[in-house]
Amino acid sequence: MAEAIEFKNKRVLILDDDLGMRNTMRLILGTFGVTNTYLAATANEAVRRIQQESYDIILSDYFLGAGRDGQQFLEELRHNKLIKLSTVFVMITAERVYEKVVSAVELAPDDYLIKPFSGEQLRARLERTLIKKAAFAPVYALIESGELREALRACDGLMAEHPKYAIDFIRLKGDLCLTLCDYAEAEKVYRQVLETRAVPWARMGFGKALFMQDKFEQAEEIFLDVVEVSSQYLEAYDWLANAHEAVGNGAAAQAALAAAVEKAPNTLPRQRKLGDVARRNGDLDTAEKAYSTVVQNGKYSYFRRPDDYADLGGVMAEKGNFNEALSLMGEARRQFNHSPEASMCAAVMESIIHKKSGNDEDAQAALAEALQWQEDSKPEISNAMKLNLVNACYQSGREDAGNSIVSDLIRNNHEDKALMQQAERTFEALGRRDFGKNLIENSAMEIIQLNNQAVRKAQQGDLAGAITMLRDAATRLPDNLQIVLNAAHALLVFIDKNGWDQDLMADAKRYLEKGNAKDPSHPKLAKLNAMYQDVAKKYGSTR
Amino acid sequence: MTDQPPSVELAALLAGNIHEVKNLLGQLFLALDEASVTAQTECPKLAQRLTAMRLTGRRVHDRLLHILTVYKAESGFFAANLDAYDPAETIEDLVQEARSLAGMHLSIAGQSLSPASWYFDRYLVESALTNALHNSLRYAATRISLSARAEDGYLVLSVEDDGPGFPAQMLEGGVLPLHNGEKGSTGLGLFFSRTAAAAHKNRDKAGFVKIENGGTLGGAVFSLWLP
Repeated sequence: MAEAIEFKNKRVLILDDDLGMRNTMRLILGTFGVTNTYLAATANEAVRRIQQESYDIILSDYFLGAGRDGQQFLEELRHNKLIKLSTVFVMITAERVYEKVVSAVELAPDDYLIKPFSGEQLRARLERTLIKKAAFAPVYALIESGELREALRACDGLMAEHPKYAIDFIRLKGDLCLTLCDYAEAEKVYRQVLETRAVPWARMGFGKALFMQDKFEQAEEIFLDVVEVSSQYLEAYDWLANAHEAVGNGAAAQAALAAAVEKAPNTLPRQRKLGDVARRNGDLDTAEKAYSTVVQNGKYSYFRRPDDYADLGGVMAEKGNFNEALSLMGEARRQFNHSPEASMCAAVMESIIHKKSGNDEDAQAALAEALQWQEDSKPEISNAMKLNLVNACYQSGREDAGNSIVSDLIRNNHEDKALMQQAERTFEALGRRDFGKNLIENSAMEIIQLNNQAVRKAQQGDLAGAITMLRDAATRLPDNLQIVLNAAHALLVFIDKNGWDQDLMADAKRYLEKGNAKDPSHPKLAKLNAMYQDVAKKYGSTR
Repeated sequence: MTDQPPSVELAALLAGNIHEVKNLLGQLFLALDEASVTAQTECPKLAQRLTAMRLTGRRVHDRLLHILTVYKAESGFFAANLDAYDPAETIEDLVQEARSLAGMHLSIAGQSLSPASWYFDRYLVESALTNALHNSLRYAATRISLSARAEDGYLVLSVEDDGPGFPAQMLEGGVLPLHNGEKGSTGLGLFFSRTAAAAHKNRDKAGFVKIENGGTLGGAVFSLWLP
């Protein structure tokens, strides 16, 4: 028997759309000593509660009504880092859907219970999960403070201490290697598991490690195999689609995503992706259907975005349904309470829609509104939205604004190949392929040269010179993560070599925070975060 | 209105309703469990009656699960979701379940001599074992034993009792009577366990169920063999 766990001080959140079940759960938790129970009937209510206070245990039903499910809820919590790694998340599910729950490879709940279950079963599951979390606590602490290298090293020691969780530690090691971009090592870790048993999560990890090493054909084969053997592993379809796209097979990518969407229509990021791929493939009907699901289901979600309306409106306009598209933009403005971001996005799309319908005057007016928003409140809009703005500018003859926005966009994202392709497609659609290509290449080249110059300086031993250049560039191009992170890298190397410097270290930290905020999964970030920790430790500073 | 071919639709409709009934049972189980915990301190006699009611509830659920299994197996939905679990925990859970449902006259023992982890579908395995356990709870005289061990490259999970054992007809393995009125056995329980066991595959091996009489306690022995 495992050592007894004290439930009295645990804060438990119960999420279930059924009032009877919520109350029954509260009563049954009471029988083993839980006194701090909190109830939520909807995912949004639960998210609000979690943002305000933290919970030790979250018990969520899979069915939440209104087009939401417990898996989406969990994904939102994890993606937005609303719960700690130590928080216990247990999914409660009917037998009918339990395959879906156990098939969530990447963002699996800590455990699940299938209805009907007994109070004793619930107690035992919670107790074991809490004990297991305690064994992982040291690694979780390291991960949460960004010390991923240390976390990876700690796994081996803890594994020896807790042989019972060996498989779980190996799984975590694989995840960490992938996050640290140590793909060859990840490949090794997963291969080791696969030698004993072909478990789907290990095959997935193996496939990802191959994919990230650009071994697309091999990865494609693995993902095909996972999909064939475990058709419920929906994440495998996403990666299969990535692999298909990487080898240039857009139709197969769309088919893979469509298959997954059919099984789980509520997973909005995947619907979004299906819409994107279908639109690129010229299949406007499929794109419209996918985007429309995102807009409809997203209404209930805390994490909806104006972009979803823009995508749908764009496709409607491409199909010639201008009035429908315009009224959707009106809805977008209302849905987001006329926020600057939503208003700007809607204005951009309205300009494009009016132009397409032959109404030049209204197109001009809408574009003027969008540019006014940009100037007045500078709302953060996505890169895709910026390209829509560029499109609107050129269509309504605002050359200068278009040139400056697109150059700025490319200078800040010169490494984002997908975005550059998208930008090229935008110019192609405008019938200005060569003009666009030129503009894009020049903007990118400017940054590449700057970066190369800095790197050359560093290689020639002029680390200080390199730092000056990169810090200037980082100030000018705050959104270019390559520049910002290279600046951080150079600073850290400099400090490591030449000794502690409070100001430089503060700048390095600021750059890394920028990266952590903007793109937590940037391939260089984990490495640099780890390096920052090492340097800080070396000079005896604690963050 | 046009005539519809009823068979497939009907099966799906029934399956859907069984799921709903299972959800309701879920609430009932928890409510009964809570009532039984409360009764233990306030009214021990009632607690005993609640224990019997809880076992009946479990058996209702077992039956529903068996019917669903036939539906799933026929429509090709039946698959095992393997992951690594600790067999000792499975035995622990079963012992707890047995103790919470056993009358005063029964003593329950559990033993695990298996490796620290094994790949299996926890839900299927627990469902098959609890079904066997619910039977033992009805037929055992004084003792039930639950155990896990490794043998011949298989994980063997067993439920044994000191009751009268399986009827000869069942042991012979031939055609099971679809319904033998008196005991209410439909043979579906064994069908479920066999389907669940067989869904566990490892390379060229598949899981299976062994039923026999004798064992360490002299009564029924139900074993699940998982590769």
